[in-house]
Amino acid sequence: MSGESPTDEALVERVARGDKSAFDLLVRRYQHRIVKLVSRYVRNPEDALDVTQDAFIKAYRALASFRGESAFYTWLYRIAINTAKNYLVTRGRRPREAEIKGEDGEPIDVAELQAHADTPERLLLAEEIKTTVLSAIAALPEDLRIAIVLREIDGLSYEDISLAMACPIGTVRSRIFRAREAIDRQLKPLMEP
Amino acid sequence: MQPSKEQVSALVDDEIPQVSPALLAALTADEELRGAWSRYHLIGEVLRSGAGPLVVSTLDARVRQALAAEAVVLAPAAGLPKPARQPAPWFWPALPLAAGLAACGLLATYLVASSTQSEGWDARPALASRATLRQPVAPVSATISPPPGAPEQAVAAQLQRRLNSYLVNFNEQREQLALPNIHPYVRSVGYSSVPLP
Repeated sequence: MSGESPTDEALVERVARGDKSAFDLLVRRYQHRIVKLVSRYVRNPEDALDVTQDAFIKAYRALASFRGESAFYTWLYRIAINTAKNYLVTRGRRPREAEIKGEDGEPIDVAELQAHADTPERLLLAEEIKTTVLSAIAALPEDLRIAIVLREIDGLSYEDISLAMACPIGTVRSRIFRAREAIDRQLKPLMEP
Repeated sequence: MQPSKEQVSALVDDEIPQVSPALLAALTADEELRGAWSRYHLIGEVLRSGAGPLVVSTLDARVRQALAAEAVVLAPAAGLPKPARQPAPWFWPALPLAAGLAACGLLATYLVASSTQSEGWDARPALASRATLRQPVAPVSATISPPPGAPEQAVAAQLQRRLNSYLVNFNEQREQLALPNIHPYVRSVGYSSVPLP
């Protein structure tokens, strides 16, 4: 997923031509991964969202300097890490690499970590989404379920899936789409305000 | 022609090699397709999160609002061919020779210094000497032969991309190996050859 992406390249090109809505698609694409990444550094969920938003704005402003020498996500990822570290520095906190020692035997303050857990509403929404998606997948016909799992979990290309499932690439594309649509029918009501 | 949701699904998977401007224009303009784009990505996140925590973000609306006040980014550099490389200076071929001579000089200095030291009252073992530690260490490098016809720059760029991808994937996947209730936020590593803002 993190390699070169023709979709990202095309979207970045559109942003560079002044199309802000193309950047919105990049935000929608990567927001979950970036929030997750930032949350490793910034414990408070609200702060993590602020830092993520800041990272996206920085990326937008700096897009003129993005030359495509690395994948867009790699570039965005580095911006997010730097933004999170800067946030910790401005808050008078060391970046968390300094706290890693917990893995080597020093005690970790689990109570403190739990005190900064996500809000109940967001936890509930996340749980609902997860349950909905997983149960929708479980209800899929086998050929659709295998196709979406090979794509999303194993990260196989359509070509590899077509070899694994002994069917044409067009069929793979259709199966993955139908699987997504079936899941989306259950998911959409949860995401609407 | 209005793109289908199936095309959006393939776009999510990067399985449309030549993304047409018309497809992207339609996608950016149609709220229904944009919603599908968002939820298709969310489905992938849920599946990949496995037993770990799912982080649900609804940041896109906030970022959109914040970007509304931003000036439009116009980057003529993006999408245009990269500037041609400057020709190498005339002394370029002599640099390896100069580096070799410098290394010989350093080695000779070291040998003379260590032999002088061992003859004196403070004849410590060479390995324990601070002078040893101060010596420049020749870098160990793996030689990678580019395929015939491929310029070395292209090979180096490819290696950098692969290294970047590896590091990003590693950082994302290692979270799933972490202990429960302990944030695996430590030791994030990254590499980029591109100057960051």
